[in-house]
Amino acid sequence: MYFKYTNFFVNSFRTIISLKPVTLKIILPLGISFYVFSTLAYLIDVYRGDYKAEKNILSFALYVAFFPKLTAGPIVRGKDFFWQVKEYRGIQWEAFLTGIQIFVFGLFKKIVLADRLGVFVDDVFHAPTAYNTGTVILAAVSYSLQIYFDFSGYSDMAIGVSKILGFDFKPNFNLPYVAKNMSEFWKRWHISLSSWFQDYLYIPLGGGRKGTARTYRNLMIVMLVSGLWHGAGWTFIIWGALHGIASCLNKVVGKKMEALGPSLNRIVTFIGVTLLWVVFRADSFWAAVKVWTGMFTIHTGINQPYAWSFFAIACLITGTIVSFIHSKKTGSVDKKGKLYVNAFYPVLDLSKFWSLVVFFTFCGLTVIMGYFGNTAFIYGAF
Amino acid sequence: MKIVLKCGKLIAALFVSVFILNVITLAYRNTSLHLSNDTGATDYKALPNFITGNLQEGFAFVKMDEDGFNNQSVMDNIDILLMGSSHMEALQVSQSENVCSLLNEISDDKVYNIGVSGHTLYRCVNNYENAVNHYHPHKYVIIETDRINLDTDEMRSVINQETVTPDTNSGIEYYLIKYVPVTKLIHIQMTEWRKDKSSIQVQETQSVSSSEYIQLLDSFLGVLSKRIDCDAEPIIVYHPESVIGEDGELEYSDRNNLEIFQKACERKGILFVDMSDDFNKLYHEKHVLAHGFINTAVGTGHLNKYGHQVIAQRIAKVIREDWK
Repeated sequence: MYFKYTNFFVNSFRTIISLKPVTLKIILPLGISFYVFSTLAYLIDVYRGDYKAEKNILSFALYVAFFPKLTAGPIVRGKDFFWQVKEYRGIQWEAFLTGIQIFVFGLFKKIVLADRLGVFVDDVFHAPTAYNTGTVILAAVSYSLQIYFDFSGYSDMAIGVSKILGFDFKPNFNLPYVAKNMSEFWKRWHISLSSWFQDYLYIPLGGGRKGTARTYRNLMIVMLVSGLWHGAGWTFIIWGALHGIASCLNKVVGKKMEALGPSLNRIVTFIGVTLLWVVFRADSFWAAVKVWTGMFTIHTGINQPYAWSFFAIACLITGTIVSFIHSKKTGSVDKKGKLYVNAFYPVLDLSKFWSLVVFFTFCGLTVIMGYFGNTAFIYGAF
Repeated sequence: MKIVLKCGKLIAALFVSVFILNVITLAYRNTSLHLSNDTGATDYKALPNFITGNLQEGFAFVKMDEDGFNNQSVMDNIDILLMGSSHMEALQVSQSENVCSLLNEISDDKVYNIGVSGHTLYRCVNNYENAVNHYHPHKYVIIETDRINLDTDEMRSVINQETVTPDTNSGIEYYLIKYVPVTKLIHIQMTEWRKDKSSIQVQETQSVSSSEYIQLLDSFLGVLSKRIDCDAEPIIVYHPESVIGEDGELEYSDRNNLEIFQKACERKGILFVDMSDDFNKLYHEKHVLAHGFINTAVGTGHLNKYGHQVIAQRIAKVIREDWK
């Protein structure tokens, strides 16, 4: 609380009493939100008796500070980690070959897609009034893609490195932009955080079992806390509140919306998520309003049909189609027996010659097409 | 034996993938090797008739002329000689869209371009005498620059003729790039990465208002105003890079020394063309910026086709007025 929120609360209070904001020089420890949530999950699980407290201090230290997940997750649960420490078999060749591929896949997402998109997004969000309507809309869509490729890229890299070192983590993303509604989106986006909130906040609050009003209240609380978790700023709180409202709306009109068919629902959900990412990305709420205004009013300005945005969109669509086909083949279905699209890692059999060629070429492409400017991980700041 | 086979397969796969990456590089970003230029008009030049590919910054494929410069062909009896850096080399736009082609089109003069990447104002001034002696332009030598906030050490080394022309025709790097083009691209990427990590800042000019700086600048520009056996007049075209401010207006960096530079040019009888007003007009009337492409950051990087167009029009106008 001290490291992350002191400046925010102090300045919010100072603003209320009409004093100038001040910035206390507090260095935010890297990945604090992630390891705090990991340790909280551990404490709650032990308290609930889900598993016994870890007696080995080194195992516990490894759980908290395991470097691949330290900066930006995934938030691994103790029950998924400690048994792997106990049964640790060292670095295995097969796991190494799989892990390195997952790592490079994540690296491609990060430095080729996310960081290239970031260049354009930064330009437009800096001065949205300078650009024409189409460009502002493209920038908003590009940010949706940037944050996805950035964060899921990091998660893939963390999962890949962990795999190389002999640890298996669950995927943290599952094609979030194919979600048909907001609640499905949260089941597919940053899964380790969503499930954390579900297990340790939403359900303890009563979940959806204690009447409509309590359900809406619980959803709002979870989303507001989720917003605050992401960052100490009003834009994050507003983003959380808007997601809360969207989730409540989904409960109200979700059934009626189903009549529109899955494709239209996917588009509506993507548009909704994209509009909300604007406030997440903007420096202030009024900056977000400027971007929204730029998106919904026809005006002239710089036309920048950014090529990397179209490349990223093409990558996303291709990946989604491949996942659709793969899910159909493997017979992945939801509770209602309908097709449920699942992501998968395109892992090659590197004992084959042409698989090696494809892998090396992909590594080379990642290096030659990557952006090597200012490339901090977005979620590394949380 | 099994391990040997495995290693063999690995190496063979590596070779095939490097071959594939080389083919991709030919289109994505293929720039020529630099050969030393014996004439001294430039420090180096591209391979003759080399075809460059560029999808990384802009979209263009350019065939260099027989002498390794970006022109449709080598020409004699040149009226106007263009010198400058990669902006003037213009490998980011198609050949018909660069300043040289446009000037050849809109004026009656024969214009030849010897712009080469890395040839900042220091290099151009250093090579000026050799360039004029070799090409004998009848009317003008136009030098392009995006920077007028000059470094005193660099100026001194030009004035004192201490600059060393690099040997570009040998070394491991030369042969590696010659036979494995992808290595150059990887080298560029790694340089970018290192540059960002070490956060190198552009050195600001020392004590810009000091009389020492002005004196130095006079001596530096004086190299251009030496009467060589040629009638051509030097023109410096300054095209500042801009950023878009939060209010949507263009903001130019590197403006501190504009007046000092302008006055120094006047004293030395050098025509100085500042493109800022033309760029502002372009932006306000057409919402277009002179630098940057649809695959790069907005308004940064090399001159795009609009930038080349505006510069060509302005040079043509300046020449028309001056020639009267």
